[in-house]
Amino acid sequence: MNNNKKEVVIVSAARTPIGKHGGYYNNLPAEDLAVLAVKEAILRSGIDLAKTKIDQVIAGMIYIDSQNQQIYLPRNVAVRVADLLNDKDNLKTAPGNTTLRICGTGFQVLADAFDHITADGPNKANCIISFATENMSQTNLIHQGRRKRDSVWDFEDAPTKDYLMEGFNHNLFKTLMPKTADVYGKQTGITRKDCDEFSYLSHKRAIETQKNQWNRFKDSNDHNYLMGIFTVDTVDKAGNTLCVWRDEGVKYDVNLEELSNLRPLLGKGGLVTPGTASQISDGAAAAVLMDKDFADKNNIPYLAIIKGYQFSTVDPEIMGQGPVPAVRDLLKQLNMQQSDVDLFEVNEAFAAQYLGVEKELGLPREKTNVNGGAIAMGHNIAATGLRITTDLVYELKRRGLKTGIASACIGGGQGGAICVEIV
Amino acid sequence: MGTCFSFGNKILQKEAARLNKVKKVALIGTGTMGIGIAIDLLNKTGYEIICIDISDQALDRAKNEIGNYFTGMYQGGRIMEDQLAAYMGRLSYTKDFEALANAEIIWEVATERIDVKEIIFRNIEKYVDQSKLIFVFSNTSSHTTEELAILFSDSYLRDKFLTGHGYFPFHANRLFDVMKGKYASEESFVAAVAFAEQILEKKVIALRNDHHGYVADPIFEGMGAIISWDIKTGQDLVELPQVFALLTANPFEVLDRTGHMPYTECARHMGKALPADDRLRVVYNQNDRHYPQWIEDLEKSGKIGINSKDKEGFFKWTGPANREKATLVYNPETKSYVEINEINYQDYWSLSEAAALDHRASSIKSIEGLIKISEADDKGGKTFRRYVLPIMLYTLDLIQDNHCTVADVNTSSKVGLRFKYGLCEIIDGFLNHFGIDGLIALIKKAGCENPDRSELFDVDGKIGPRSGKPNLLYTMKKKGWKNLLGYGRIYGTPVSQLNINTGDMELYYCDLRYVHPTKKDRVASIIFDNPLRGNVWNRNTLDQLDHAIGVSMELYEKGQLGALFFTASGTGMRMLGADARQFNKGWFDAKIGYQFLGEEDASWFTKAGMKLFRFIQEMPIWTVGVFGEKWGGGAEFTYFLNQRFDVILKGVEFDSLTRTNVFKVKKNYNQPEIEYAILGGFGAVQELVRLGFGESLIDELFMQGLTAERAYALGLSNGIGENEFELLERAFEIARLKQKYAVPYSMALYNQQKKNAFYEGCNDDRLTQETGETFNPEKNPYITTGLLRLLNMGGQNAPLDLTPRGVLPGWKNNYLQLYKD
Repeated sequence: MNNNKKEVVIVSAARTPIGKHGGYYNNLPAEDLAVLAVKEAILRSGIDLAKTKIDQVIAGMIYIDSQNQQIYLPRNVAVRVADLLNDKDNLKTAPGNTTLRICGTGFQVLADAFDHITADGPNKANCIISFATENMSQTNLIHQGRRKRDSVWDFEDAPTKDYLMEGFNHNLFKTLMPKTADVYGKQTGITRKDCDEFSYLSHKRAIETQKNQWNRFKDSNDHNYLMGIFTVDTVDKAGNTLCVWRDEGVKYDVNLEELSNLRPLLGKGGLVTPGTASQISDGAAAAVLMDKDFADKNNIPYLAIIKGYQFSTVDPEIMGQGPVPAVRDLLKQLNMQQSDVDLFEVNEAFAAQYLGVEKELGLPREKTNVNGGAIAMGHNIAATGLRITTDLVYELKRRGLKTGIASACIGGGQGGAICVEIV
Repeated sequence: MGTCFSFGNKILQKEAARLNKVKKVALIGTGTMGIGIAIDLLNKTGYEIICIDISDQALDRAKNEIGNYFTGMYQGGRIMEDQLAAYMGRLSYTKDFEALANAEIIWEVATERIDVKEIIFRNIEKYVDQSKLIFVFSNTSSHTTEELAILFSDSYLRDKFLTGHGYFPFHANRLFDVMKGKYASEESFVAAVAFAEQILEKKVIALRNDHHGYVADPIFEGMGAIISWDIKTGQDLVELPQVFALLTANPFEVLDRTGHMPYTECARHMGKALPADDRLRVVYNQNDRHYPQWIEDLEKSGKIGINSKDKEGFFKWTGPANREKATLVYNPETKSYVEINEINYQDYWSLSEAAALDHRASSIKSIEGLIKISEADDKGGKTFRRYVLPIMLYTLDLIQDNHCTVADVNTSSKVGLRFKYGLCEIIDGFLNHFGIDGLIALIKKAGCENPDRSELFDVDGKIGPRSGKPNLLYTMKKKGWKNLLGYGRIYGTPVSQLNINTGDMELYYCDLRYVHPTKKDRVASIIFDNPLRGNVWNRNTLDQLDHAIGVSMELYEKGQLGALFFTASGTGMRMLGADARQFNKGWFDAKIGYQFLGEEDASWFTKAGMKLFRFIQEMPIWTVGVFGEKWGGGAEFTYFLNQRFDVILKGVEFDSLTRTNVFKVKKNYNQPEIEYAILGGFGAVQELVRLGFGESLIDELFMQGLTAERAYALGLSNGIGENEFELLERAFEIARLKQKYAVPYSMALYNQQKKNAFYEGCNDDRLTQETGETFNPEKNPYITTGLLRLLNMGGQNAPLDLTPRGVLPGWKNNYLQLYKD
């Protein structure tokens, strides 16, 4: 990499535990989750809002939740967090935008920040807060009637539709997200048994990790997994107090027999079952990013450097293949070999999809998704990219390793990947 | 029921399966409560119970008391010798915390001191096997879940930790609080509530948020604390608490029975820990003390109530065990016991007037009487306003602050504190009499009367702990809400409660549990669960069942319900008959002597019950009942259901031939009316004829009862089984299968035709007469939903059509008329 080029560092990263649909965060809108995550990221970064100017707030969210305030998201979150941290003129007045790249939204918020920080000229930023949040539990039923010409308040009769489920159809290519995984899995020679076994492994890894998960009440050094997670201590809309410390989707009584008896979603012989697909989940993640020089100058410690990112396209009908070109292109862009990478995090949208990617890229299983993935923890769509990056950074640090790549397939036929390096 | 059944609730299903497999429970602490819990668990479950205590003395006492209890049961002929041995065999005592490793449920019942609890919790953390553990209960009266959960450093244990609190005496008082707090997981909460509700057979107040002392405790403690500072002489201890004796009992007499320690410990803790906006905070923090010096003097000198050596506490008690009476009262001035003087009529005339108003003379007054007292200007009125009004305001605070619902307060006060009328019913009575403005004026008047305690009477949110929070009464006024509770049609007892967050009236059944149908199953469950008097038919039950049936009909009209599943909670799933205390007993009036229950009053109950049961019989919803022992009205009720399932019960019974107690199969159907010379109430004889019984079988049933097996052989019972859980599952499955035939009108039509055919034979002309149309399916619902339709469909079932189509012709007892006045 050119030495003159500016480098981007992750000063801090935090994520909420992931809630199951209808679970912990059923009453907590995506915006509230984002407020908690951003506040935690700022507190973890240790930056003083009176001294360090926040240049930009970049939000990521896909599905409109019950509050329907997605359009105001970055400013709302900035203002609410500023109020919580007694800030008057920094974060409170920071400009913000919302970005969207389906399952890659979590990477996109980092990519946007990367571009801003590495830019030259008047748009150059030094410190950016990126966050991504999703509450799939609160996605609405939508009424598809259009406004009438004679009155702006009048709508045509139309059926109501499930906004979340509508998104799983890619109508132009007449395909469903699970179908893409089925097709891709079969193309790469994955069997149902492989899928069930992988799903089982994902849960088992997540269970083991949770047993050793960091918690603020324990001083013990054995409990140092998933330090990206912070405990959510809050009150939900119904006025109930809430303390969430772990990912809710992890199934403690998982067993292979039950998994193998589940009915495939798309007919006999299909690879995707409720047990081998990622879960519908809620959660948020946030990171504070800075120009490396700026951070060094101000003596701000940081976790990792973002080496680069890459988005590549594939055939939409096998969108799950996305990580394959994305990781290859990224390695090429950074002049690296796959063996240079110490840990991989590849989002488990579907077991069949992940296994296909694993096979094509030749990923070593002991180096990939070491703490379980979205099949066990959940796939809170927009936040997933940032969630796995956060977990990757902390896992690299915990193991004393250096380089890691986080990647995910993106609906519509894309793949995203990001490379981080611990310093 | 002893086993845990999910009634179609999917989350509970998983937890219930785990609860039904529990084998070992560990009780930490074997004090008074620990012993009570051990006895209750032994009685109601088949668990092995490990009693853990650090003191040999406590363990010995537990061994003795539990042993005595069961030996007494054996000597009284209630259990057999081998049962006694089995009970004792399930108990083990140890000082070693290592025994926790095998426990599936851990119940900490140690003292209220946090340092003691901390040591215990550390031991739990050290020895427990997390893969086995379902939840940990702590029986605390004043700590919150959060205060205790943080004693665990392991997040998994915090997930599984809840406070579960029973009331003394544990086996007799059916109130039980479960508090979730912010740490416990939803699964633990669901499991704990189901455990308390179904296995311990308690009335559960399930609180999601932390509150010091749940609901009942702070009210009871408050009742004592608010008076305690005003007690100067011994006579004050007799006179001032009278106002609480009007509602339930003199709190100081109760404290003498339970011991003073829980009160003093709680007062100390609450004085320190209550949040700043707690109205009663001041009564625990006065003169730099949490409770008055004289109570501390009493405690220090070992005078802590009936169980102390000299039977001395606030009162001196004499008389045989368990029948003690207060003969002398403690005088804090002289620190000695003095005579209890007669109460001066001139000072407390309003109490006597209220007694005259309330013709069923007893120390507990009707709401009408209380209103009379609250308006009076004598000492009675003044003490009422000084002590009772703040407690009423405190109740409103609890509801306003989302600590609990209206139903929680009402049930807690009725079941736990034995109020004759729940606190919210009393507030409603006052609201009906005075109106909201009138009640506010009364409170303000009381505030002026008591300038030394004006913060207790704050309604405007101006002074004291409640400043900034205008009382709930103002919200009610603004939103046009008249009452906190909704009342039933037959006897006007509470059946619904106001949700102050939404303004809707929600179900509140104190004596029933109503489980809403799921979209998939379309089966609602009604579980008879009377916390005070067994599962009897009384005014409340009738009102609540009537309301529940109305609610079910509404759901049915919307297509959300097709079958009703009835069962009874409690050991042996027992359903009793009419509450004889309410319906067969007269009352004594000083002026006119003993008054018998009038024919009008007595028959109204029968008529109301019959009308309701007939409706249940004829309504288009399929009904299935699973019961154990059924007595009188309880058995009669089941004759009106579509299907009956019976649990085969075994127990000790007196054999009149051999004149000995024998362990044998019990009778499920019992109709002892003739033996007891009570007239049959709900028309059992007629119903039995309808069910195909001849005279000789009816005689058999009335004279000697039927066992489940006999009833099954005769066709009265549709299914029998020994295992409660399996029978419930089977019967619920039948309800689930039957619900789909309860398409509006088809079941009613079927019943109608069956009845007509039974009495008159087949009569085609009737169809024409009733409908005016024989062959037009548009106009004749008999055709659209009947056999012709089925034939037209090629012998296949018609798809579900859930739209109601108006009134069924010829259906006289139509629910639209019955349920929409």
